[in-house]
Amino acid sequence: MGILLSAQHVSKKYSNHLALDDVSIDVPEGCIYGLLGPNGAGKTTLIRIINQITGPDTGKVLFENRLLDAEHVQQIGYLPEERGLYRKMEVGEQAIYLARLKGLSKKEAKKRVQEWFERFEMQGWWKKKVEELSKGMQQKVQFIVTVLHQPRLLILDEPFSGFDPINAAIIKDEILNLKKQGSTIILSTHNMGSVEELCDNIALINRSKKILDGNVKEIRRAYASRTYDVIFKGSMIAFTNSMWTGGELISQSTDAEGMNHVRIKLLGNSTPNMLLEAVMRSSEIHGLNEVLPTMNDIFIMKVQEGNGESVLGTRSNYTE
Amino acid sequence: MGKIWIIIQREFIMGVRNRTFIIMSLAAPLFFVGIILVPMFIASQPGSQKTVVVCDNSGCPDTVGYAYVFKDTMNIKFDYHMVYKPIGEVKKMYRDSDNYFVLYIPENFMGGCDTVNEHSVALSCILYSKGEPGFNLINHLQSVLTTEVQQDILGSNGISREVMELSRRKVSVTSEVKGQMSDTEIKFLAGLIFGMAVYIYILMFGVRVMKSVQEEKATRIVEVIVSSVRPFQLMIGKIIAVALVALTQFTVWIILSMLIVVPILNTIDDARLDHMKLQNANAGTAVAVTGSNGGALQDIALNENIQETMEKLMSVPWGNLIPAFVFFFIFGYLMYASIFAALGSAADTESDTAQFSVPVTIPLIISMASFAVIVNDPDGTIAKWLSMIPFTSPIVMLMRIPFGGVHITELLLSMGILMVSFFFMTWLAGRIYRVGILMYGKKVSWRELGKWLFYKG
Repeated sequence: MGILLSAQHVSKKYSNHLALDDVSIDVPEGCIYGLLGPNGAGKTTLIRIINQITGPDTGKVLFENRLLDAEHVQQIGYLPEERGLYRKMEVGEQAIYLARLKGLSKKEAKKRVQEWFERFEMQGWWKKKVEELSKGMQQKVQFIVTVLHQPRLLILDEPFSGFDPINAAIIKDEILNLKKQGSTIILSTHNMGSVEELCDNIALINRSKKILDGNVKEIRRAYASRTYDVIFKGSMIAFTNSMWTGGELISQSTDAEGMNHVRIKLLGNSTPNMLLEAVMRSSEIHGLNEVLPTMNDIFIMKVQEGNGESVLGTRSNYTE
Repeated sequence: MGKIWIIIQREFIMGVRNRTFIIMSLAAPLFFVGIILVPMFIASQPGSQKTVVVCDNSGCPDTVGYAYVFKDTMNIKFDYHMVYKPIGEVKKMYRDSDNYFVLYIPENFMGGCDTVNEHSVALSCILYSKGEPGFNLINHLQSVLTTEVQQDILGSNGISREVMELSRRKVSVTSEVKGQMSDTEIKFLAGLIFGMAVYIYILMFGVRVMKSVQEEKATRIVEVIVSSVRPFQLMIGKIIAVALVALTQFTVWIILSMLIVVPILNTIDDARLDHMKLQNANAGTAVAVTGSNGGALQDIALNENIQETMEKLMSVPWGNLIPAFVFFFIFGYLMYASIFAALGSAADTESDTAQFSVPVTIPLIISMASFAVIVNDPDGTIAKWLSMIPFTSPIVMLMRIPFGGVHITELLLSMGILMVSFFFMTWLAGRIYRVGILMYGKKVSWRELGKWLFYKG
């Protein structure tokens, strides 16, 4: 899989603060790329640079190994975090207008808008003014407008905010659908659940620097703390007695069916096999799962680390 | 260019589909035409015919008195069949008649027969009626009687009617500049109209650009748009589209005004013509012969009048004025519109725009306020400077040109300065605009705007 978009050593300074400091990211073609970071970290600035709304002070952005230029506008679709449409304009003609600005012909734009309107069952909205629509309906229109010109790169800034769970699920399906069709998607979000669910790769930006990037699975694996969940039937006391020095019991509970759940962190060079061997004699094992850290955990940990706070610090100030 | 064109189309369509635009386009001509024409129209209408029954008790048995000084007019008929009857009898007779008015000239009007001794007696008549006589009727009676009384007094002191007529002649001062008939009044008017047009245009539509930019920013649509087009394209597209909307509005106004004015003027003319025919018919055949001569004389006088007016009109250097008007109109608007666009981009809310727009409108207001100074001294120092400074020149230059004192090099210099300033200001505005439209939640000062100029693309 080739790299579709590559930002290389991008820095951007506003009069009194550094918005981006030597940030590089590589977005492979056909993946969903999560752009994570606290508010004010510099994500929007990076997105605006990719959209050519503003330019970098130093560094460069390549689209398929070519420097970004005006031609690329047609290949990028952008859904900003702060949504907006012309309130007094009719939905249909507005969608066509925005598609034409992206380079579609009037005829083609009209055809595609109709297709999408059918797909989202909103044919009746064509003549409605935006101000007559509910917020959720406006969001749908905005999403359609973003993907209408079939961009190769989609940049979605907090795409789920403002949607109810049903519509959020529809949008999620559409995103996966677009990925299946070959689109590359940059997803900027705070919603870590959706990151784990959707993203293949991520970059974490904090205080204008990139502090982490890579494949989501690999990152979670890398931050795995060798913790396992064991499910067993039998005496909890016998189980704990059979534990040896290679493992540490973190938590334990018993569910309604009498199954015991314990979480064990392996210490030293011990392996899951050694753990099994130790407890098998005393209990009937029903399951063993490795516990990987959630992206949320990694996010908070990395951000706090970056802010010079202890990992154990309860809350970080990540709404600067 | 393709994208600017798409933007122009949208902005234009939204502009002319706007309810305010439609109302303004339709209502404004009706309003202005109404203000001018309705009174004219009403005045020209025959109205209800009023009959004034004259009752003159002022004449002593041997003199005629003032009764017969009145002549019928379009709306007023004078009835003399009871002229020397006692007033009590006349009043009784017409007590209940609508549209009949009894004019009573009392015995002691002019002191009765003793014209010399009893001048202290007030010169006053009374108009008796059932309904209101109205302003025009009273006015007419007063003016006819006043003239007659004046003539009588002067006549009784040995001054003949001819001398009196002569004494009423008016003196006029016509001016001739470089051998050409000149009329300051027309120049004054031309300067005012053209200057005013540019002033209104810039202010009205400049503010419209500002509001439109501000609205785009407030609804956040702007971020979507500038991910497709350069901010500068959006700004220029909008400015051009608003200009086209304005032109459309003017065209609609002109056409509508024509459609309304022409029929009304025709009605007025018809009414006048009817009246003239009526007068001729009344005058009888004997007068008809001289009447036709009089008509010819009138025609000649009219022709001379037209010729004179044309000559006066031609004393305005139209050859300079019209092209200059087009130029200053367009570039003045473009320059101000880009400034207004930049200001709109800096404002988060509509109320923020006021803070910025006031200083920008000051040069415009100064231009209009200096009109009095400029017409008094169209080639003076103040006029010359104001017609060079690009912020005031679009208005002031147009006020100066009709007076003819602007040398072509001066005009070209002023145009050049405006042109250069237009490019410079648009560039400047573009730099502020591209930062401003994406800047939220910041209280923007003039200093801050200055900083934006130096942000890198």
